[in-house]
Amino acid sequence: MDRRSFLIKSGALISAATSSTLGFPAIIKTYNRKPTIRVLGTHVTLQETIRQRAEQDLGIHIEFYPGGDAEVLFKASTNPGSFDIYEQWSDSIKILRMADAIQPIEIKKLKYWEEINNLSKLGRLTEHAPIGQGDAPHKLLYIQADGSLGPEATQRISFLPYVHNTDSFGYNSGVISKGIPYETESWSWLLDERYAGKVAIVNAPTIGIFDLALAVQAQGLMTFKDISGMTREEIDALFEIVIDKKRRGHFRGVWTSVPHSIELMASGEMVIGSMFSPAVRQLIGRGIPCVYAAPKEGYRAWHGVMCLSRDCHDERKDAAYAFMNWWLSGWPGAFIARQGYYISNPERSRQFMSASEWDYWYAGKPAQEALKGINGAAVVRPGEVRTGGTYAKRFENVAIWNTVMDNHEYSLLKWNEFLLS
Amino acid sequence: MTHQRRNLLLIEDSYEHAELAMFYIAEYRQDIDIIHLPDGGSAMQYLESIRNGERPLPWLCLLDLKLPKYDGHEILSTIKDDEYLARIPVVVFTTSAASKDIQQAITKHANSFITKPMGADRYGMTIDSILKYWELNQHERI
Amino acid sequence: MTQFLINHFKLQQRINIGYILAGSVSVIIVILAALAFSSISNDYRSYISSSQKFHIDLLLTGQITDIHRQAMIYTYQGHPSAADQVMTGYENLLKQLDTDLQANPPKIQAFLDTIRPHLKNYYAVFLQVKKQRDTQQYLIRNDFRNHASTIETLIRDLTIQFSHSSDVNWQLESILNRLLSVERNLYRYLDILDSSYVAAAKEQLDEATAVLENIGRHNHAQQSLINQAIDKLERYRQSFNEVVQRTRGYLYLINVVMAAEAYEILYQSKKLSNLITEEMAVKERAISAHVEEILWILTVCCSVLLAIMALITDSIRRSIALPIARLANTFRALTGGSSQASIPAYPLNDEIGQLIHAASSFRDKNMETECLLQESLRLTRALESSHKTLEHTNEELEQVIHTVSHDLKSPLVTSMGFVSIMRKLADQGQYEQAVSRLDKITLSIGRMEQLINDLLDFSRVGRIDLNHKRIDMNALLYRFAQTHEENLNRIGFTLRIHPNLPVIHGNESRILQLFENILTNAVKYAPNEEQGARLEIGAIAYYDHSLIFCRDNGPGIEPAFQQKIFGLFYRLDNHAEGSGIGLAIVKKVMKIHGGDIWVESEPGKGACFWLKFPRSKTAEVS
Repeated sequence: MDRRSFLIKSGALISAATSSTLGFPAIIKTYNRKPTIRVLGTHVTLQETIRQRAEQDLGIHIEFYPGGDAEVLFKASTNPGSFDIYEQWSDSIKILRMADAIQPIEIKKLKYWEEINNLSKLGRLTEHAPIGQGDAPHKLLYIQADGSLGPEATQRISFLPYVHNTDSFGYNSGVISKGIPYETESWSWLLDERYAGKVAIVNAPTIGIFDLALAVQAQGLMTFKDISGMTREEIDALFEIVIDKKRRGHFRGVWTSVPHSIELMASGEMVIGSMFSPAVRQLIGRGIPCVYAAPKEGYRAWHGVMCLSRDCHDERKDAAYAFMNWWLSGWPGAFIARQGYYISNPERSRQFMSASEWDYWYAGKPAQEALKGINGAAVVRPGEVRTGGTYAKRFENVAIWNTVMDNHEYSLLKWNEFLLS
Repeated sequence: MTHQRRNLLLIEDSYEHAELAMFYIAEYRQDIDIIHLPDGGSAMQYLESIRNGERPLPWLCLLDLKLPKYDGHEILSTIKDDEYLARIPVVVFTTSAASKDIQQAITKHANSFITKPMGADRYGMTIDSILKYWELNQHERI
Repeated sequence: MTQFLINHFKLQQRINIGYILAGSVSVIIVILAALAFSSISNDYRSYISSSQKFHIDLLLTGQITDIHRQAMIYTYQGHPSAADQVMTGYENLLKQLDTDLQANPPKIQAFLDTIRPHLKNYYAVFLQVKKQRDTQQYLIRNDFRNHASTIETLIRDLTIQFSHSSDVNWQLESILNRLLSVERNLYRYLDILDSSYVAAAKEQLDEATAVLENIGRHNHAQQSLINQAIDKLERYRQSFNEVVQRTRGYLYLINVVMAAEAYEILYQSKKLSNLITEEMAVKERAISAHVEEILWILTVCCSVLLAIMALITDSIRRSIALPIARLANTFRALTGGSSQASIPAYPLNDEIGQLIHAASSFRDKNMETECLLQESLRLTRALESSHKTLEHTNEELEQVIHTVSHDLKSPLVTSMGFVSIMRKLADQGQYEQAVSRLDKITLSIGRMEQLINDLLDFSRVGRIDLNHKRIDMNALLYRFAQTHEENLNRIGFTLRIHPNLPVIHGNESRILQLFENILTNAVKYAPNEEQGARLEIGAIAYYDHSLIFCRDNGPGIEPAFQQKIFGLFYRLDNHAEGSGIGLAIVKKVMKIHGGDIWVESEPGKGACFWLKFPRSKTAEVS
């Protein structure tokens, strides 16, 4: 399943969410000896295969409540009692914290904590690697003594880091000549006059704003004091540039879901734009030579997080911990690796992968055979190499981590202006 | 009347007629020498010799019209067209009485045109008359 | 064409055909023009309808922008009327879309179909926004305020309880201040939408809680009241959180989700607009191309039709005018009296055919007249000819008479003269002399007789021997030579007949007489025997004549006499025998044979008589 497959299937879903505000969860509980946990999250991780496997492995009942980014975040932030575990991105932590929706996680209850790599704990996989700007996971990981979040190691964490990946933009190499990863491929391409009218941006201000900012910065049109925490003035300047561009017809527009982005590129309305890994994979599968760029300025990375609801206690809390530990037990990591996602303790997942799978997905080596995806169909052709190289290489090139800025509300207003300019 | 002998040129193809003429001329005038030329050819030769001065101008010329070779008209022309010979008095003396002949002869300055008479004595008388008439002629010395 | 018309249609029909054709062509042109104009006007109507469609896009763009503006007004200012306007606008737009969906071509329908779900989604999200905002407002106005006043009451109660402790009172007062600050921060947040106010408010809430907890730790007596206050504070915090989250929620929905839907609608509208513009441009181009094409076709058709009409008209005109013009020429020629005037061929018995017929009668008449004229001319010529012949004959006759009178008189003159001489001699008694002259008279009379005989002979030529026939000169002269062979041999005269003599048409006895006379002359004037006299007779063909030459080696004839020798009784030598009739007869014989004779000679070089006979064609063939 796609991550954030439906960012905005908003109408109906939020309607459901809102109506459930009053009586959530609207599920008829089956009274059973087994404890039941409710998982709120996106389609990326809330997959039926995973649920069944977890139930089987853990002997508990698990209810999945998948939804779009904004939907689940809204639900979680306004009604902590509606879930036990929340699965989303590190950038939602601030909001959840602000909404007092989650409770700290005890490291001592985490079975595989020691195996979790430095990306999550220190913000980088290797020592020399730069730390991407914005809310790198480690900055939000530990609950400091004063109750705030910080990188200093403590015994309590705000979330369990697990699934993560790097994002960039995709382009149709049938139209745009193929660039060299990390050398010529650049976020500046998004604003290249040559592709005017065929550029689309993801309709998510917390993500799209960085795609635009990175592009503007790469074009040399402006610089940011802190790209991950833009001032209102910087936001104004950024939108002035992109709105001007938009008015001159530079953008096809925004896409609101992965299928929408696939459709836009497949129809030729878009030749370059924000893109998520599954869309790129599907486009290639459809014969469109979509290249997932490795921009020289670096990726926009994201980190998946699992949070405990403020209202999760006792038996359910134990089950929730069990579910969190299960996630790092190897099989789930191998499962999502086949969708192009990384797990925070890869070595444990390695035993659940074939050597060629590991080589392709993590080691950046050519696929020795056709690799199957989660639904059994081949998604990687023999000899294919994952763009961006190895796991380490990709995370050595993180320009920015997805971040909810302090001026989030303001950016929303500007986003509206951008869309309707 | 002179005592000199006179030459009379008789151009006449008919010997009989010539004999008649000569008979009467001889009868009437003994001082006339008759030079008989029987055809046009010999007449022309004689006239040529006169003109050359080989022979004297005749006193009179009796010219028949019907002649072998050159006829009388031609001879008349020869005589009258020549300044010297033209002085010869030419009496056309012919059997013809055709006005055509007369006209032509007069036009060519024949001095006389006389048709030969067919009466018993008239031939002699005609000759005599011609002679008499031309004896009256004074212009021979011109 | 012309010929076809002439062959198949009468004059009247041709003129009618011309009229019908001209009419048909006009009608066809009018029909073509009408078709063309109706086609163009269809195009134009279609274009106009396209341009009307153009308004759909403008309508969509305007309406969606308006709707969104109203939605924004509602969101930020909460005017219910704005929300109503969004609803009305949405419904109107949807209705409009449904109407347009039915009215427009599939291409545009497809666009409108694309737009519809976006619009519907937009409105659905707006309803969510409305709900969120209503909830938020509700929270602010009720929960939040109620909680605040409950806490305030509780704090007041506590203040009364702790009236003895100014320290606690101060702390409680600070809680109230903090709560006021939270409220202020919330309103600031809602006003400015800066999350730092939220953070500040939360900090103050935390502090208030901490203060209360602290009081509670030290004052167990008031624990329940304090716990009650803490609990209320927690509820207050929850309301606050929810207000913030709902605010964020609807902000997200309107700014991101609805804006995206609105943008998509605008984008599709723009695309539609582009499509329509393009379609219109295409139509415009098509119309102008069509107009041009139609004009071209019309021009070509009209030109072709007119050309055909002109051709046919010309043919008809020619089929009428040409024969008439020809006929006019013919008549001009005919009135000039021509019988050769060409009458144009004309197969039809129409009006022109009748004229042709008249012309042909005219020509026949002319021909008759001409025949008559020619006949009369011929007669005139014949008359003239016979007149000339008569004149000639008269002249000849006169000549003959003149000659005869001279030559016949001559013996008379001689006889009479000698009679006179004899009488004179007899008078003189010279009887012998007189008698001797008698011979002269006899001779004279004898000559006279000969003359008369000769004259008779001459006059006979051409008068009594008119039967002409084919004469092979070879045979004739062969016989002629045989006849004279003996005599000639005797006198040593050579007669040589050349071969290949012609065949002529003539009277045989006259021709023989002719050669006899020539031969006689040749013999008469032949030189003496030593020289070997001869006569050659041969022939050459000369154009359409046969030329027979008779060449002797006699003394020749001076040019001066070459004409005269053919005269009647003309002699070159008065010593020779004969009356001078021979060559006159020869000439007359030639004349009656339609030929001629002349002599070529130089004195001393013989003479050559040329006899020119007209070549007898029939004779030659045989």
